[in-house]
Amino acid sequence: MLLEKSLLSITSVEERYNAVKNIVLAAIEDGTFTYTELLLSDEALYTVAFMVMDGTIIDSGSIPRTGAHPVIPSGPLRLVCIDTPEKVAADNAGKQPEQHRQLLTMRSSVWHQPRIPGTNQRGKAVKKSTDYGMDAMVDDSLDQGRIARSLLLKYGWPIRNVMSTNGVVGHIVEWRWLERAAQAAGTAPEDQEIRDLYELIKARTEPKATKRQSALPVSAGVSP
Amino acid sequence: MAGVVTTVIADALKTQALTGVVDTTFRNDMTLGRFPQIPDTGGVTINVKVAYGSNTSVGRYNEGDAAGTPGAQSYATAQWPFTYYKCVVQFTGHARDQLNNGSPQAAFFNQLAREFEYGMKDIIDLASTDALGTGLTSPIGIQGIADSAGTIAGLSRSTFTWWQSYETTYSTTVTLADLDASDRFSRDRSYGSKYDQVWAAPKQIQKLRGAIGLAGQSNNSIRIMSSNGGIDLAGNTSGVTYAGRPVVETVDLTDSVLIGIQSSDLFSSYRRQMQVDLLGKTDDSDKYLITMAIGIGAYQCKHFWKNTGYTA
Repeated sequence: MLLEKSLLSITSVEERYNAVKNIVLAAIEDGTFTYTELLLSDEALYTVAFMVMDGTIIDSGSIPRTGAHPVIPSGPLRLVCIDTPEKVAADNAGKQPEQHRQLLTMRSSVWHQPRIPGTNQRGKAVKKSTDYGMDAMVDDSLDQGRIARSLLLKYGWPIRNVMSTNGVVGHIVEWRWLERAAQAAGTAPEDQEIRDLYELIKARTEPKATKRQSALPVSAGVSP
Repeated sequence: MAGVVTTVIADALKTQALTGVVDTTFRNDMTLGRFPQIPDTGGVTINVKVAYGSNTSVGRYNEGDAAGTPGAQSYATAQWPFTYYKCVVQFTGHARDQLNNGSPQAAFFNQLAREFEYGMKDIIDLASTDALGTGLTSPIGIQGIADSAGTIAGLSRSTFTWWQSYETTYSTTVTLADLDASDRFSRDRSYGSKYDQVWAAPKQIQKLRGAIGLAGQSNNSIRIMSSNGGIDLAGNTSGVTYAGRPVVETVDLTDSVLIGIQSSDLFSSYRRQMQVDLLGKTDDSDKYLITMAIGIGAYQCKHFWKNTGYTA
């Protein structure tokens, strides 16, 4: 958790804003900032952090004003989907085909005005989905709507797991956070869980390198 | 044939038509009523104070425990815009005179009055279709309210993430599992939806009926083995419901979306009721300006959900 709850005891809006700003900027500067740690903080605090990052302040009358400060860039971010075909097969076992679920990927959408078939006119705006797949560098610029931030808020692991009281589990992990968390992990069950996930994704995302390495000894006459 | 025949009664015969006029144009007049009216409080926008976060001093305590550090809620203001609508009606002096000011002795219907009546209906139609649109700024639309991105009512959903609706984009035909997912996610604590209806265009209602299955057919949980003396069950010839909530037919809504609506969260406010003003004369004509201003919005956008992008 990046922002401790004690920050909420600062009652002055301006003072709390500055306190959060200092912490966020320091974390960005020393390279330890992750959305996951931020989003595990209290909603009131990560909202202030987003205001800091997005150059927004709350004026008198609690009216937000954008462009108050420069926007702090935060991306693109490497996001990885933790779903697997094996999990899908296990979830679908014994269910009717219409209840089967698909492999969860990382998807975002933007407005799009399709052409009315047979004419050169444009119809009503609809949402068009972009699928980033299972492992991608996802844009997080403000003018594109902070896509990586939104994906983590909605589907982040373990962010959604914590936010949900309905058993919803996230399926997207912020790679930078996972790497750091796996390295810092101790012996607690959750640490082992994080380490296992890290190893699983690492193995999945680096199979080509493994194959290339094993190819060399074969050509040299050594059994793989 | 001699005598009085039909060819010689032309001078005596009045031109015939039933009194009145039948309007054949469809105009949407069933949408604005879904947005409960609140008074206009003046000012540029409809301002709604929104609280987020929670008081973190809330906790359990034992005898003798210290009170601890106080907490407080956090606040922001949503600013919902108004939209002004207009229609211009003009009669020349000659037209008004020949219609005898709309007298039934001169005309089958009072065209002068109808121009005002239909002009006002046209305004309501435009305001209604706007209210079903994608607007994030004036005019606001329900698809803009129920969305996970963009800035609406002055609050950026990237920054103020608690202003996001739960939204999923599909590129398939609707399935029951899609609704189950939206139901489960939107009712989770962080969205806290208590949606009580689903809005859909007639096409998606048809698709949904196909997904749910007609009672008695193989993909429905209720099977009627004999078609004789069949029973009328929900999902068949009755209206479609999802988990007890009505799927409300919404003509003019984009036909590729389903929107979960928490109706108690919607509001509308008339800045100006329908008003007719005679504009200054520049010739023998009478020129009227019909105006109306309305703002619509939602108290809390995250209580809505939206499934978009459905095909076929």
